[in-house]
Amino acid sequence: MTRVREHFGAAALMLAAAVALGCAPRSTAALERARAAYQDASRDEQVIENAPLALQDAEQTLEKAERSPNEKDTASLAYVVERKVEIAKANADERVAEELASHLAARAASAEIVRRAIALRAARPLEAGARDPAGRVDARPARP
Amino acid sequence: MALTWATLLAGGCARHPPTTQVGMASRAVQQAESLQAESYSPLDLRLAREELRRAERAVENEDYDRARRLAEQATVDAELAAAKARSEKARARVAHLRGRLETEPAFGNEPPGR
Repeated sequence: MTRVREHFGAAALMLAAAVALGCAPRSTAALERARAAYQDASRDEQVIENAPLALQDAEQTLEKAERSPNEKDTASLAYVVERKVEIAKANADERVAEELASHLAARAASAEIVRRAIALRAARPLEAGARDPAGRVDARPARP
Repeated sequence: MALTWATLLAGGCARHPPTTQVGMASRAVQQAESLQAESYSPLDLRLAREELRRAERAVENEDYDRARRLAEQATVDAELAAAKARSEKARARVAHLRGRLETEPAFGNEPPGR
């Protein structure tokens, strides 16, 4: 009987130590913020379309935060959720900008080809003009 | 007695240093640095570095739970710094290409003064 009481005493002491070290039940203030941030992003078409994996990652971390029995872990995971939501938004921004950049790069490349063609057309008559005994130069404008 | 210890450990107080998490945080900071997050997202990078330092200090003090949490925060902050750096670079590319096309008379844009 004394041994059982000793064990209870040891268990209570360890529990107290655990609580003191931060292994205590949780609160939900940070969790509410994380939920709101996630819900906001999960309704954003641009994020859904362009960063589905990052969004899913944030959702999984949110579930982990909600399940955690430890207050400090929950608060830390809630912070991680908010930052992962920011990452999802940044990834979506990056993707949109990348697509626009490749579209613009294609246009710039076409523009370069047109510019060279015009330059070539402008240069040719000058060469011909140099051989022209009358010294006549075809004064075609360099640009249309 | 063994059961009590087992319950306590399952409850979350760690015995081992979070080597994996601290390593991940360190690599995430390096990755962000290599993407010039210093210029594109200095606050997030500074936060990540500070958390990594505090995580390492917590490991030295054998406060492993705290070290793990700090390492996880450092990782996500470094990843955010890197993500912002990448998106800012993509935006800069868009701005550069737009500038080039605007001064390009041969393609869709009228040259100035016409």
